Amino acid sequence: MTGRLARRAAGLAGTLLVVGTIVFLVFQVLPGDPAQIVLGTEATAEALAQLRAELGLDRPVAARYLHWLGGVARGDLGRSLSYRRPVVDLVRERLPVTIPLALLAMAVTTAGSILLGVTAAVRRGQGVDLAVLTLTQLGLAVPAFWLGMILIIVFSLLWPVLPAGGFPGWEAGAGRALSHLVLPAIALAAARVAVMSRLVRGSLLDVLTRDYVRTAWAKGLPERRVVYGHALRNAFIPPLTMLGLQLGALLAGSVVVEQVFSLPGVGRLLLHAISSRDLPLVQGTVLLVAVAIVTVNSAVDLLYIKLDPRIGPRP
Amino acid sequence: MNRNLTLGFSLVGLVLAATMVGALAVPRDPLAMDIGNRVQPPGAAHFFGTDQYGRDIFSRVLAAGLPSLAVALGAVAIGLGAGGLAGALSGLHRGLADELLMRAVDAMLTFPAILFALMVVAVRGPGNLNTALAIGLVNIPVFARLTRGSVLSLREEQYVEAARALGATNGHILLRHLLPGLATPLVIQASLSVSTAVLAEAALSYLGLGVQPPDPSWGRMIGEAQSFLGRGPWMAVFPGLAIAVTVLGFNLLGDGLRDRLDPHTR
Repeated sequence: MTGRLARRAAGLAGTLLVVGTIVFLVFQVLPGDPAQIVLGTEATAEALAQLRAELGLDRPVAARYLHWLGGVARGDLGRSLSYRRPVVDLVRERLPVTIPLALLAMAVTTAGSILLGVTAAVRRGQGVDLAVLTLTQLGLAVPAFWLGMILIIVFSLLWPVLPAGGFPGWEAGAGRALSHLVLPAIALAAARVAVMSRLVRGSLLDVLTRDYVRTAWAKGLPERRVVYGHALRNAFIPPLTMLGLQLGALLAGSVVVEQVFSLPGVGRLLLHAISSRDLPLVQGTVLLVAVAIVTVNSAVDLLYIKLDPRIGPRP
Repeated sequence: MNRNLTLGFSLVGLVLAATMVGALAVPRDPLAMDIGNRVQPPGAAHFFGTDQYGRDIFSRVLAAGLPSLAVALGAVAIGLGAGGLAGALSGLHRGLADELLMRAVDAMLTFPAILFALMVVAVRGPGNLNTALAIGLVNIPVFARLTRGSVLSLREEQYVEAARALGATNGHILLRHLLPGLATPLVIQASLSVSTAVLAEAALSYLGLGVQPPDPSWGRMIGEAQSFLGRGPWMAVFPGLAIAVTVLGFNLLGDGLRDRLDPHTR
């Protein structure tokens, strides 16, 4: 197990290095003088030269890359130009919004996809199945930010049961804070539910034809016991591997959804960075989110090996 | 024809027809302001109502089709062209370059599309061309991996070996013998990619980073409608429906084509 862990850790380190290199390269290779982008066309030559020196642009690319990589390895992602503070601190302050939002969206994805997937599989070929299939097609076609606004119109304006946006902070109480995350989490999760409920349906249909399920039916067990007690347990292993990967998509999707609901999370920080042309902040935020996603995916991978010994290599 | 294909074809046809109308003969000027008729609900004079400047939303939804679709199709063309070529060469030649390319592709695929596109737009600035480029770059690894996989399996076919034995060059083999076999998976993927590109363009434009004024765009119309959700919810509803119909159409078209053309999934 230790050897396997070490191999996985080395693989993860390699992927992180490549991801970091891509982030660095995008900011170097794409044409455009970063100093000019930050300061605009009106900037004086002295101001441009000063900013180039501050950003290290007066040094060769290779030197910049090594310097940047060294900083990243020490947890230093540079300083924001607009906030005049370290990027890492700015991101850390916004995690208490973005991480709970992603986790809540994950809970909605799990519950929603089991509910829809099982309902469709058990009533295969009937009206309910078709309805779920239609719903999943729509879930994939509707933009999350638009769904968010429709949810605001329905649940905050027409029938005011949930707040339309903003975030009071966790000091206002967990219940109040969570109520501000419910609509964003649903908007964020909709497309994931569409993907996952199809997987659950397909997997459950496969399991429902197995001999042991037929035996359970033959014993005269009620449908609830057969489906939830016997079939679903095995049917959920394949979708489970996919479920972990959704967390990355949810983290990335929060960039847009946070904007709809005015949530002060990492996504809005990134948008602020882009609109104020704060390139070090853009670079640092994108890198941190990408690293979080890659790390979560690797951790999920490792978890499955632990949960299901058949997935890993035989001892 | 299967149901997905029929429905997908019909929806895409409808969207293309509406886009054509939007480009050639909209009922009203989509940019004309009418301050006396601000935020009017849908009715006989304005089918989809008017926005905060009194502009006709029906005409704007039609007119926004062309920029949105042009960006999405341009992005898929970039992904298909660059990714397809890289994947085909990589699969034909193998070796170190192939190994490096696939490593880069794997790393790119771990990046969520929207994050990568935002990063590109941050560096290059907003605009139709940059939006297409940003979304196109995201598509390159998708097509590169698909093409490489297909080339790897096709190159083992006897007719390709025969061509090689006859002294055919790689370019000849690629164009004459591999391309027909590559076309099916690439067409299916292209259709599915158009729908993700439409969604990505809408998201970037919603954030104000995609299609720029004066071109109307479904995403930006929704963004502008956000401050008027209480007074004029229709301002957000109709552009969103246009996006949903377009994405649904291309998704169903891709699914339907796969069911029909790809023997593995039959």
